[in-house]
Amino acid sequence: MNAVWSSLGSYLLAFAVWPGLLLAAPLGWLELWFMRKLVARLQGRQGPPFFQPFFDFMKLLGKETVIPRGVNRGIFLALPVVSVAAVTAALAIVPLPGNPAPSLPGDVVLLLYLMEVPILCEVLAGYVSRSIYGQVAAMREALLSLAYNLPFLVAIIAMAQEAGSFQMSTLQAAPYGLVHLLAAVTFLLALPARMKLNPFSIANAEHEIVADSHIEYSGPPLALFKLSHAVELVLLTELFAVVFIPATPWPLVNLLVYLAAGVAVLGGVTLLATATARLRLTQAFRFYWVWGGLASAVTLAATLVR
Amino acid sequence: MNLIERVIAISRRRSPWICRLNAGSCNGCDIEITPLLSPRYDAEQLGVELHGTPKHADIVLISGTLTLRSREAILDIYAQVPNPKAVVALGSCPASGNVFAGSPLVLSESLDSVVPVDVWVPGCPPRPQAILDGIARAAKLLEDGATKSQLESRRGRLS
Amino acid sequence: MAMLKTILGNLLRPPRTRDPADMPEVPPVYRGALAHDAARCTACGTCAFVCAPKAITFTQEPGVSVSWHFFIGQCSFCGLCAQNCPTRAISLQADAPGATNSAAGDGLRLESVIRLQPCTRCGAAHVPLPDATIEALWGVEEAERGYCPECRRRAASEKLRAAFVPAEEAHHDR
Ligand code: SF4
Ligand code: SF4
Ligand code: SF4
Repeated sequence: MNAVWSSLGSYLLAFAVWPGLLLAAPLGWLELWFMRKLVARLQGRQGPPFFQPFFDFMKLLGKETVIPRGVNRGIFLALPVVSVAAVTAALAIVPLPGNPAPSLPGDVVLLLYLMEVPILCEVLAGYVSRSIYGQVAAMREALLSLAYNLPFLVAIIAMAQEAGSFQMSTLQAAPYGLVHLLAAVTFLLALPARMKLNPFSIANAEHEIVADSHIEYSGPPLALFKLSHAVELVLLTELFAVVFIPATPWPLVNLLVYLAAGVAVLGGVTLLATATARLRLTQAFRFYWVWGGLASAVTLAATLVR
Repeated sequence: MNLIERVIAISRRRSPWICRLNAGSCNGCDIEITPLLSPRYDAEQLGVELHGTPKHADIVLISGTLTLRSREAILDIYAQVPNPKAVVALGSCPASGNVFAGSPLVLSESLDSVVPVDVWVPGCPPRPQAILDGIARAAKLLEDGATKSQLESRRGRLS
Repeated sequence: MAMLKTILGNLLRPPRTRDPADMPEVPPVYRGALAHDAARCTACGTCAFVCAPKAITFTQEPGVSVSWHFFIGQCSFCGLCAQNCPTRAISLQADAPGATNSAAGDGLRLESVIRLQPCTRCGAAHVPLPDATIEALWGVEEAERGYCPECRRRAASEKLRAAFVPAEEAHHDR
């Protein structure tokens, strides 16, 4: 009984403090600021002040929530909460150095499932809001997720196949090889679309459909969606670092290397986002099914060859 | 005022999200908003973000001559902006109707008679720096809780 | 690739953004807010006549003053008033007018009061002629400077008459 309580406590700790909400939120804001600043500097602009994402969040917390007429209140308000909870729970599973939560067999499956929840929430948010624009955004998001999830899931599953286990800690400790490299490329291919960044920012195309599927959200629920996005950035970059960057025996060094790798990945996708224009949905689809499919096939083949 | 309220008040000044509303403008004023996003003026240095939907906005920039039909639209959009909110009137048109005043489909009255205006930016069209100045003033009013809608709601709560 | 070169070049250069307090200069020919010089104005009303949006209006307090009013919220900064003012009493300033808070009213309203003066001959209150105008007008003598338009006309016709009609006849006529 005691063991159950203590492991529950460590999960709670992982969820609430590190790598959960208390530390991931500032980290997410930092990464958000880094991306916005980098975009601005690449465009020759000054860019936002350092605390900008924090100010945005606090301001939204202090605003009124307008709920559109004819919308189901409960679902409307629950979606952002579920979204934040799911990404944070997913982050709590990632074996970052200092994560108090014990690693479970099969937690990769749980992680992949939890990572789909915010996307689901976004799609539902678009449909629930009863706004035409929100529904178009939701449709685009849902369709796009069918495309980018192919390389994304294959990259992780190939790593699981390589490590011979669906446990995050084994994935992290798997001996470095060719599959790591191939899977990393496949993962990076899916990343811009997962982060809704430029060539694939089809679901949040503010010039075409006004805003993303949060179009009808305001005040604290919108703040939670923004927070969920920030934590998702941390989740994606740190997941990449944990799975694909070779670990050293020293946890502190690992942590620094992971954070640096996360920032480097963000810098790369931001550079791509600034240098490119938005694709159409069909083009993005074709890209992911052709090139993403090809990369996935090569990666899977490499795991089988060995 | 406790700490959280203070932080929120500061955030209101540091993160003014704007949404623009063309109430029948000749487009001159709207064109002058575009340079705000360009490298030279870069409104993002003040935390300004341009949003397409009133639900995300703190400040509504209203430009153009008020017409009989845009009156309803202005009221509708204004009602959708979550509190606390501010209104910035761009150019001469919202203040009086400018050269269009007196034509049959134009309201020919001040925007203040439709929604409470917090900042007037003169010009036809105003220069980008004047618009930026107007946004900064409105953001300061939001921090101080001194926009007309904030004062109104406080009065409503007291009575 | 060209795009990549451009944006990476931007990264290496300092940003081109200017501080809100340090905004670009306004070109010298910019037509900003109006300035009015009451000492030059003859209250002729030309400016109000040419102004399409009726930004310029006049009020008067009979026998005391005439006021020139300007409401910036109605001006389209076309510059016609300045161009047509015969005495150059109106000038368009070369700086962009800033925003104003609503607490200060609905923007900039200018009022410029032109005091009427009694005529030095008949005592009737009138808009005094600006000095520059007097210099420009041919044949206005020192003594006639304070005359009202009516007396000025009379003085001019008397002078004319004196030039053509001998003095005793003129006296007789009267
Ligand atoms: S103020 Fe001038 S520029 Fe602006 S909308 Fe009116 S006419 Fe056009
Ligand atoms: S400002 Fe010039 S045009 Fe206008 S009334 Fe005075 S003198 Fe006449
Ligand atoms: S600049 Fe044009 S619109 Fe403005 S007061 Fe003069 S004549 Fe009228």
